[in-house]
Amino acid sequence: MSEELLKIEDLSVSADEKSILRGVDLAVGRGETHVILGPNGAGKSTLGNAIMGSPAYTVTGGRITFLGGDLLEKAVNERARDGIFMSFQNPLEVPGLSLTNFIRSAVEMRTGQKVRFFPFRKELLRAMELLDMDPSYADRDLNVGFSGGEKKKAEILQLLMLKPSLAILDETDSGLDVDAVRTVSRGVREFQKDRESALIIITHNAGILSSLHVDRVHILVDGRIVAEGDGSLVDEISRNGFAAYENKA
Amino acid sequence: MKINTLPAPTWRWLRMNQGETDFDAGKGGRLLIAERRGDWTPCARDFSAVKGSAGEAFAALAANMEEKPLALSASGEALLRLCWRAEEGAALDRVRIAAEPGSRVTAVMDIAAPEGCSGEAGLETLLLADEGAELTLVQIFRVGAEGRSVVSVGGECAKDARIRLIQLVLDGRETDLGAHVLLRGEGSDFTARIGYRANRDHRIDMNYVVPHEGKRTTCDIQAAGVLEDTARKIFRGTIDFRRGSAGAVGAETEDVLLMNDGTVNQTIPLILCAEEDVSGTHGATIGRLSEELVYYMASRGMPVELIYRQMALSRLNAVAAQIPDEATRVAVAEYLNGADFDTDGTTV
Repeated sequence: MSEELLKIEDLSVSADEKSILRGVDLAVGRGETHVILGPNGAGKSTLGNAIMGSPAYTVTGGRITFLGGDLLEKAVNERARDGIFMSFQNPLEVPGLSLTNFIRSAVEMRTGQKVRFFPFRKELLRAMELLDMDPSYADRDLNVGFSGGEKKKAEILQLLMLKPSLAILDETDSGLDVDAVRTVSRGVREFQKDRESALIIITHNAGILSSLHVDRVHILVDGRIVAEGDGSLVDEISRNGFAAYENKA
Repeated sequence: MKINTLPAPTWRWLRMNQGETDFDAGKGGRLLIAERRGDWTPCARDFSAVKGSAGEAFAALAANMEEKPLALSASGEALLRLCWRAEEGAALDRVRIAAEPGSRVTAVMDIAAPEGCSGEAGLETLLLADEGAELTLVQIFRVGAEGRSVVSVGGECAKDARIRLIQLVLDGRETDLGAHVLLRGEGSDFTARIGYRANRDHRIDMNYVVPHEGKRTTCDIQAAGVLEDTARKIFRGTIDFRRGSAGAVGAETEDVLLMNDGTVNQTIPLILCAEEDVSGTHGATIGRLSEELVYYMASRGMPVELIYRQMALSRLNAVAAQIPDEATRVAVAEYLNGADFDTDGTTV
């Protein structure tokens, strides 16, 4: 494996006093793309949120290290500044805050430097073009009145602009039509070109993976990783589903 | 004097039935016409039946001013930009605007003062929207941390007429504002978009009253604001469905962000009903930001203080975005960007 970026050891997580993850181990190296597959309710999104630091979840055991440091000690915004990004399943709407200003603030937080408007705007519009986004969305209020597909594209737009070291895509393909999945995949492929960064794709269907390079696949069932393999595991799940793994948890 | 009186008093011990102000002014003359576009003519219409939101005592004070009101009538598409420039001491100016049948009229009032000026702005604005007219009044309050504003707005709508009101309170030690708009004509409409922020020990007192008299009249009042430190705010919103207003619909909503525990936020929605076939609603979101929103923004690297500051600004931006006049929108954006709201008692 290439230089280790993220290491999860024996992670247990609960929400509302209900145990969700039960002893998860995962190691992600620079330049790698990992896929977390599993049926609904397996704990996939919980894993992403635990890495990001969502206050809705409580880590009850185990460790997460990122770039060698203890991630669990850090606040959500510190994790983001260190280079972790998560695309949300249901991005929130913020009236009065434009997409441009939101991303610009986020980039300033990530880089620790003031962002010059015109070069930033140029890069933003270039990324929007890649994602087939109408440029007028740059000046619209964050996610307000966006369709489901546009919200997901706005998340990938943030991914491209923030250039994180580790990106977690949480069900980015859910609710998207075929064309939108293709467009989002194009954005993700663009991100994959940066071989210093890593990607964790959380999904329960293989649609978004068809055009992406995948290094490692982890099958999560009932809070445990029950199988791991290379990209060929995606094809097997596409053919046979999760039934063969559901009694292994 | 008592101002901003609630049309139907509630329990006295709540101390919400009216506001109090010691505002007094013996002269006016601080209102300047900065821009006039379209067909404006002097107006000799009678505005005496139009009630202002501040109430009778303020109206009496205004009536005693030596200076005549600025009274204009507009037809077609027209825009008027007025500036109120502060000096030390109090002044009270009066404006009367009539929008003629079918016209599209915008009046912008920029009530501004340099930082540190303790000037007191009094302004009484009365509006008449004739049949099918659309009259938009924009009032921007940016009188600095020491300034004070007492503003009364009154209006009447004829058949199918519409009055739109946008008020943005960007700062001010004490601000009294509101609107009393009578929907007299069938199918007439009033919308209000109010944005405000108050910090330190500043006070905002608001009073909106919308009597519905015409059939199928509609009103929609939306107020969004931010309170910080020991700031106090009271919002009175009255939708008054009078006999004959069958089919009328009224709504009032409020969204208040409280930045800390020392603020005092009072809201009194009132829906009066003397007609059967009407619909009136009130909704309020008062408090702190949702955990979900804070998490989303924090996941983009923003600390909690910045998130609150962004969300405070977003409330004002959302109202500012509805100002139809671009020059005013730009001026407000520059003001907001230049005088960022402080979240910890210090200027940021």
